[in-house]
Amino acid sequence: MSLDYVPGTSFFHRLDPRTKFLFFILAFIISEAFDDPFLLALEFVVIFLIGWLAGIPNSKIGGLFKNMIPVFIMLYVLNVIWWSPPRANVLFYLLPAQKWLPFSYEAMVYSAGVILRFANVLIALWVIMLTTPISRFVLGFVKWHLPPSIAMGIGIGLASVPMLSQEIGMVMDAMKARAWEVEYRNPVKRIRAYIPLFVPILYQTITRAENIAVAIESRAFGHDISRRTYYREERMRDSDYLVLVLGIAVTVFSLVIGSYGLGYGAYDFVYRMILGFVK
Amino acid sequence: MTAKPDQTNQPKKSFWYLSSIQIGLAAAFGAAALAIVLGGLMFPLGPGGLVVDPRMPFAFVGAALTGPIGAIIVGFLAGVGRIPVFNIPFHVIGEVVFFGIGYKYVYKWTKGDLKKIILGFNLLTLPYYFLWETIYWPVVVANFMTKNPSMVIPLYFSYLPGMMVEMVAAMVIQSVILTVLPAKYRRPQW
Repeated sequence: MSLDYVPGTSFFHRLDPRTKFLFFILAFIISEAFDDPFLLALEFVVIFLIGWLAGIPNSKIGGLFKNMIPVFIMLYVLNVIWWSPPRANVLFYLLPAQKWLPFSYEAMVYSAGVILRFANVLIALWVIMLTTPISRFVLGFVKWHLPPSIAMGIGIGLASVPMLSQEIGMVMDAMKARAWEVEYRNPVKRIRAYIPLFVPILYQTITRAENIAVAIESRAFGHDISRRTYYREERMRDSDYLVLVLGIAVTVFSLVIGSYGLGYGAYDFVYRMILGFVK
Repeated sequence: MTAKPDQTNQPKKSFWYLSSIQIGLAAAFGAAALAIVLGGLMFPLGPGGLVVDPRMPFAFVGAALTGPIGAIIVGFLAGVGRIPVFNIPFHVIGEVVFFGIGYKYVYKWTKGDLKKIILGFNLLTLPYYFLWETIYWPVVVANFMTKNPSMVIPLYFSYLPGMMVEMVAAMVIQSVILTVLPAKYRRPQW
C-alpha cells in the first residue's frame, strides 16, 4: 500500500511536504510533455534513482508495480487497438475479414509510451508517499490555507486508522475463531460472507466518532479552531527552493522541446534518430 | 454585569464550520474506509484494477451524515489509500456532490422512514456509479495517461461490467449499515 512510510533522514526525506507535492506535479507535467517511450523511460530511471537514494527498498517499488501489471496489460492492449496514426504499418488485424482492430508498429511504440507515462506518475507518487507521512502533508497544506476544520478532521482520521485497523483485525480473528469463511471465488458468496463483519465495524466507528467529539469538545474545540497551534510546523528551507528551481527549469525545458512545444518528444522521436544514425 | 449572548467565545460560523460530532463522524468513517483499504478487505474482480470495495458504503454513509464539508474529509481519507492522485479528487467530488449534498434532500423526502431512507440512499448510488465513476475513470485515463480520447468508449465498456458488481455490493452493504445505524445517526448532522 502507498501509505507504508519508509523512515529515513535522506535529502529527499528532509524536504518540505509542499516541495515534494510540487515535485510530483512537475513530474506529472514532464510525463505529459513527451510521448516517446525512450524519453519517458529516462524520466522513470531518474525518479527511480531519487527513490533509491532516499533509501526506498527496490522490493517495495517492485511490489507496488506488480499489483499494477493487469492494469498495464489491459491499457496497453486497448490502446494498441484504438490508436492508429495515418499510414500505419499494420502487422495484423484481430478481425482480419473486416480489417478491424489493427495492431501496428506505431501503435505498439506509442502504447509503450502510454504505459511508461502511467508508470512515471505512479513512481513519482510512491516516492513522495513513501518518504513522507500523510500527517506532514496535511500540516504542509495548512500552510497553504487548507481550512483548519478539514485539516483537523483529516489529522484525527489518520491518527485513528492504526487503532481501527487493529480493531477490524480483532473482529476478523474473533469471527474466524467461530468458523467464519470468506475465501470464496464467487463474488456473491464473498459479499454475503462479509456482511456480518460490517455490523461490529460500524459500531466501532460510531463509538470512535462519539469519543472523538467528546475529546475535542473537552479541549475547547469550539473556541476558535483557526487559531490552534501545532507541535510541529512545516517550513521551506534553502534546499526546498533549490529543488523547486531545478524542477521548474527542467519542466519548462521539457514543455518547450516536448510535444506541446517544438515537437521533439513525439512517440517515434528516438526511434527515427536511431534509424538516422544507422543509415 | 452579565455577558450579552454575542460576547461569548464562540466564533461566527464560517462556511467551513464543522461541529464536534461532524468532525468525529467524518474522521471515524473516513478512517474506517481507509482501514478497510489497508486491511486488504477489498477483493479483485478480474483484470483492470476493479475491486469489490467495502470501503465505499462507509465513505458514502460518512459523507451523507456529515454534509459537504465533512464529505471532503471522508473523501480524502477514502481516496488516500490507493493511487491518491486520482482517487482523492474522485472520492472528494463524488462524496460531496452525491452524498454530502444529495442525502439531505433524500432525508427530507423520507421524513426518517427507514425503508424510504434505504431506497433513497440506493437511488443516490445509481448516479454516483453511472454518471460519476464510469465517466471519471475512462476520461481521466484516456486524456491524461493515453492522450487518446478515442479510448474513452472502449474503457467505459471494459469498466462497466465490473462496476455493476461493485455497485450492487455497495448497495447491499450500505443497506445493512443504514438498517443497523442508530436512528439519531440516520439524520444528517448539519
